[in-house]
Amino acid sequence: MSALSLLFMGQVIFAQITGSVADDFGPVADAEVIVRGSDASTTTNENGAFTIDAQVGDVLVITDAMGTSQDFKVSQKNMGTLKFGAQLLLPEVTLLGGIKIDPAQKVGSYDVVTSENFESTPYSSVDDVLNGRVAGLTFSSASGDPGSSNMVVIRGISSLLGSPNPLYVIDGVVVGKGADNSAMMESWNPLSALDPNAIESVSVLKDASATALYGSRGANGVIIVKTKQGKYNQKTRFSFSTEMAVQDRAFENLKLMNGDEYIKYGGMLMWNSQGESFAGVTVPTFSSFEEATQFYLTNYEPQYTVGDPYTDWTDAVTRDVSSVKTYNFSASGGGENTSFRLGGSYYENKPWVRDGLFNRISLNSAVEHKASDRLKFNMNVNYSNIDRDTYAGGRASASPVNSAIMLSPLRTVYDEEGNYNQNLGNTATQDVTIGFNPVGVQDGTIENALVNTVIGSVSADWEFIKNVSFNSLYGAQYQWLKETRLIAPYIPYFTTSIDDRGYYADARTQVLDWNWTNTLSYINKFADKHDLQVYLGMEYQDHKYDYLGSSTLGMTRFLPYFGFSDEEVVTSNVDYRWTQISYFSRLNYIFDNKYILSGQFRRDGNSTLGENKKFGNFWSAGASWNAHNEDFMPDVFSTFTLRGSYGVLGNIPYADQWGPQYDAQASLGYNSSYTWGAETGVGFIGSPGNTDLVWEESKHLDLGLDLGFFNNRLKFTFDYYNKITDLAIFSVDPSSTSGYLGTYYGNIATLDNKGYELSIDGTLINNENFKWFMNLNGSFQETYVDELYQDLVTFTSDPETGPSDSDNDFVALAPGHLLGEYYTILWGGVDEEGNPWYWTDGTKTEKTSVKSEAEKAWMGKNAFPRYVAGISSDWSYKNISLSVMFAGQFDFYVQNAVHSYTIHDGRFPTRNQITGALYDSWTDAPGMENHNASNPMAVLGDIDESRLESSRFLNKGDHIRLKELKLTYSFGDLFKNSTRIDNFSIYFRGTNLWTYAFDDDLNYDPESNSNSWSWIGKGRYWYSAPVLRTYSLGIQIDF
Amino acid sequence: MKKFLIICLTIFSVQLINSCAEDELDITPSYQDDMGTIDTEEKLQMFLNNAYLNITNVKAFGAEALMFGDILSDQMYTSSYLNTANFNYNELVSEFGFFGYMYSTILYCNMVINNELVPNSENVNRIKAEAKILRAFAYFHLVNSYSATPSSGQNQEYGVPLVLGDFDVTIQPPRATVAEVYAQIISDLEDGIDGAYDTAPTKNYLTKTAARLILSKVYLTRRAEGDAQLALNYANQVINESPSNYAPISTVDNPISVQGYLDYFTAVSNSVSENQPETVWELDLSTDNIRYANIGSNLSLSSYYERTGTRSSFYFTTNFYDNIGTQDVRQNLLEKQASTGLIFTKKWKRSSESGNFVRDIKILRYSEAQLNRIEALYLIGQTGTALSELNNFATSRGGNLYTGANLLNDILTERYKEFFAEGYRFYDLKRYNLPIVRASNCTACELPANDLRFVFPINEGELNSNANLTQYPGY
Repeated sequence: MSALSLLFMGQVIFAQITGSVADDFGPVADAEVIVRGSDASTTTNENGAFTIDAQVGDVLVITDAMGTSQDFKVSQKNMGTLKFGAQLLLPEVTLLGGIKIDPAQKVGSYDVVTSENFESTPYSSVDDVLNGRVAGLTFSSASGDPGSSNMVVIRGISSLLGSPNPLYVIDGVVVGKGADNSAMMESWNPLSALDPNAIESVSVLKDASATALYGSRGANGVIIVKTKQGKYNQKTRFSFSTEMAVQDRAFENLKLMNGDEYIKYGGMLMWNSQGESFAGVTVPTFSSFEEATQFYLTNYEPQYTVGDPYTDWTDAVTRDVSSVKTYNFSASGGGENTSFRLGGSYYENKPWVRDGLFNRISLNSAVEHKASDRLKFNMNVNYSNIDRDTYAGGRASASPVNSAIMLSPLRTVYDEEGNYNQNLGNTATQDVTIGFNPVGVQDGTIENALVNTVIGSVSADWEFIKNVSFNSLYGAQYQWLKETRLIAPYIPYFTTSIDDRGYYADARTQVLDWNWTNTLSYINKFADKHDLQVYLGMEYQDHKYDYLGSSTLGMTRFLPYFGFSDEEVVTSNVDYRWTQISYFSRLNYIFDNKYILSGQFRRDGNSTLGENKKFGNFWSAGASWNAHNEDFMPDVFSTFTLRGSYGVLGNIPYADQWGPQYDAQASLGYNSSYTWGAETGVGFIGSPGNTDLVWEESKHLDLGLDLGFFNNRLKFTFDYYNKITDLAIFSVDPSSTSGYLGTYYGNIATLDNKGYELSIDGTLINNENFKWFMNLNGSFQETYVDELYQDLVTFTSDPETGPSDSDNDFVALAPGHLLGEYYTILWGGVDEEGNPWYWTDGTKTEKTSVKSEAEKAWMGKNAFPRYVAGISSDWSYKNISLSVMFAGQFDFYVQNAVHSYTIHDGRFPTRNQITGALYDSWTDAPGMENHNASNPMAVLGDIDESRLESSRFLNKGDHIRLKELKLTYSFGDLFKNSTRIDNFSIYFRGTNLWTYAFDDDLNYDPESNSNSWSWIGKGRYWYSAPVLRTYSLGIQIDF
Repeated sequence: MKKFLIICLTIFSVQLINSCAEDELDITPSYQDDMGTIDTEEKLQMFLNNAYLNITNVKAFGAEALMFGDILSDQMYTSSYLNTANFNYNELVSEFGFFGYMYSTILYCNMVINNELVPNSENVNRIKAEAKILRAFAYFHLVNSYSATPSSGQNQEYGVPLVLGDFDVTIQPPRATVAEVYAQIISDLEDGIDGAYDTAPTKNYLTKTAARLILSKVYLTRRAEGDAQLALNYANQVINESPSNYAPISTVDNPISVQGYLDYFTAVSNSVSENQPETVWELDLSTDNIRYANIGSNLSLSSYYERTGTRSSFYFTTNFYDNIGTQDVRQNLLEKQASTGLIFTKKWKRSSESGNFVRDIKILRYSEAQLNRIEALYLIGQTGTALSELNNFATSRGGNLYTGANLLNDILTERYKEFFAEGYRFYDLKRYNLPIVRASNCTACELPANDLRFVFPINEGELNSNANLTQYPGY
């Protein structure tokens, strides 16, 4: 009954609504005022005043002479002065199921990045663009290879397992964390399927009250991407843009030795090693340096004759110019009840490494239709098709990029017969793996991926009773990948490769993620002061993964068809599925626009947890005080909001990776392809199971202050947060004596994240001709491991095969230390005899030259920068605008994970090294004595293993980078009158243009990662593909 | 009013339909079975197969466990595995990776032995007996590596953990004593002799003969009161009571040719190199199995030993080469590279008729029974017979004869000539509490008798995961 009375009370008759429109310079005359959804329209007079027929609750759309529109909700008959113009108004953020966050009622912590930053970007994916623009967000890419996964960390790492990335939601569809779906490719980012041009805004939700609606998967933060929608009552507008860019390495001080230097090094190595013997060679004593050099050439480079040309291997495997081309086209418009947007784009990238290629075609569509005042439908469909060529990556000597830096410049690419030269180094010392001539590998491997992705959502919003609406959203992501790898017969790619036979593998993967959310909401305002919003909802998610792959080692021809194989074709398939059910409720109460209370409660159940432990109850609460609306507040504060929130949310860190979905159950597996004697088949333990596996709990406290001055022309946002992850899920290493040599998941750790964020936005100058905006953001962040089931957990690599992209010899976890704190042997330097020395332990009191006598010590820093800052500044003068962004990361260490490829202290006499090995190593060689070097004396065989793990290969990662520079010239009205073109602008854009590294010894990019699907890869320089710098030129036309 | 009710009902029913989906959270993988469902003979055999495949892992007897015995010897030197070769290992730095694989072999044997679901039959008894032999073999290798020898009297409380029960991923067992481990090994082998195959379809199975051979070696290692006689008994059983498909490769009356001896190890044809009478037990390698075991060009016996192997780095001393006489068929298993003077062995060859890295690896050979018998005769005092049989053995290979002045040394030398590159030498020196003395090509030239480093350290990761496991004293 009360609902009915609300029905009548809420009704208001049509009335004349008056008001006036003004911006920072004065009244806005000649602005069009229309009421959305009705025929009423008028124009403002010279004082900016207007009168129009409308009801309370309607939305007025005011469009000025320049075409800029702004919406205003009618709340009373006389609306007073409506502020129009370039204020830094945060747009409303629409969350799950029609629940909106109104920026005027901000309780949680979140940032919004708008479309200008996304349009016409040379970045291939969304997450690239957020770099440096959001306080508390640190970004690093796994490799410059386009389409590869990136690591985005918001407010520190909060789980030990799984991707550290936040959850991405595109148009209401939860698409995951950018984790790998690929079977074969080194690194594949599902987000690169979305064209940055189609993006309207990106909201980054950081704290519990903001992320609580995404409950179980929002513990790392949530990034909501909204693609461009059409506009009602708008003549169809078209937009076209194109951009060309060239790329090179952003920060590269890794200079390899040329032929002359290489020979000189060889001589020095022999001189240093007089009397030593290694791998069948005994070095005699020399009377002159030339003798030493000659001995080197005779024994290690016998094929070389003085005067032969040198080989530049890196040149041989890379393109001269790497380039990017983009073309975008879109149309948007709308009638009275329907609005639409259609867009398409083509992106092509030919990167630096000769084999790589990335082409993306994407089509986006968005349609919204109002069936009536109360019923609205919305449909978004985005499709993309990606054709990606990549090369064999990873640690393997098969990677042409890796081997190019190791090969001797005295060896040729082709031999006398014109075949690929495979005699590339001394085999007795295992300098090279036979058969992997990098040019041969590039020519002889084809790794291709075809990925099709459809992301779509359909939703209906129905206000079936006044103030009560029902929203239903069905979203799905369907992805299907075809990955192939074809290897020519002359490359022994695998350890089990057959002579003269190639390899072919074809993997087809299908992934379907869908979610259905239903929300009931009640929104009403009582007595003009009490704003109440109540939401109740339910969500169901279903995720399926299906993989089928075949491979064979018997290809007789270099063609991608299994018919050419004369060996067994091994096929395997597997599927995974997981589901989640959530019930959630939310209550917001706002009093007089000043005091805001918000609370949420949810219950989630996930199929991957232990029996009887699948459900968990979670909640969050927050409050904020808009003190600027108080009477006693001085007018100088246009915004003064104090806010705080606390919540306990559940999280399953491995949920976005395929594989562990059934691990909580104990199981046995069988496989009939193996035999023993005359018997067939093996039985094994599939998973030891863990019936006690429960939700990880993320306890998140956030306190914040928003200040605004001069009508919000100057805004400060300050946050303090503390996020504790209890019952953190991690891999438990059982004792090997149990016989189970794998790991299983258990809740065995507690993590503690603390930090501060500050963001300052200023509209410094805002005249008709000249505008200047600045944004500064900075954050401080630390993550500690409070509790752990063991005293020490390390991630060492296999000593036989060496480091790979998913381990890390330098870091460890231990209670009381930073997450992933560096824990390694402390390098001391080089003593007077050229020998390396180490500190025996962390107290740094005693020295030793014997590595096995040195103990590992904690270094107090990890790979996550404690301080991150970004400054961006936008200037515009008449038709020209310039925007600049700097980003800096401080107080962290990075490691050269491929150090043994760049400097080997004499272990591999026919491998090339960086010039530091020649000019900066201790030596007594005549004519080049150096007793003040940072590298020890290079001795044949490097018996003391100085080239292996120690803090010698760690550097400070502190750096500042000019991330972006964009200069635009807009032709404005010049064409408008003669042609139909509304806007024509050309621009120049550069990214990663300049880098300053504080550590002089740092010669690799501090933003590198060896992988991006776990925190272990952070700050590890992996060399597989460098971080790139781009220069681009573009044109944008709107008509 | 009606409209309102209908609307509410629709919404709530939609919610109800959704919530019925709660049992959707019970998802199990269809390609795996629950624990506790091993209920047929076929399944039981499959778990035994897995035990065999685990011990075939490249870090265990697929390669490394066989290499360490020679890397840690006096007549071979290397340019890889330097930590091991130079006795530079400790809990943080160690190249020994077989600890886990031994225990995983033991786990699967336990699952077979303890199984009560499969009804008894002769075949089931055979499977269980075979599992016991394999388990004993794994424990024997563990206690030989991670504990001091019984005859040294050192640290006999520091045996290896004895795990005999059902699968429990949470166990943290402490070390058992060396005596306890030996008792278990002997008991398992005796049970094995009772129930195992007499003659198996191929030599990949552990049969009665294999169990007897292993048992003779166990007694020769322990050398407690009366053990030498028992060793002799079992060695004699192998020599006299084995089925006809077990026979020595060479006898005095019918000595093997140079080519024949080489072919036994390296013939391309499977019918010449696999399933031979001389072989008592060999590991079944095939294209699929080596994938499971991770054997390949990166890591395998032939990659390291063969002169043309991808990781070729194991060389024998000139002294050793010269001491094997020029008439000895075994000298043909060594080759001297003219350009460098380096001496490689030809014993492990990459290619065979079925492909690369797929020739079965011989673990136990008939010749060992002969040498074990000689050793046992020496131990019980019948030195005259021992010496004459030793010389017969040498003659059957065309080798140099011995004087018997230091009979134990002669026996061990003959063992090394026969079993070089098969992982025996270190363990032979260790069980007699002898030092490793390298005369040439060495950085670390001596490991004194009963030195700490005759016992391998348990690595840090394992100590971290098992709170009850203690490190061997001295590390």
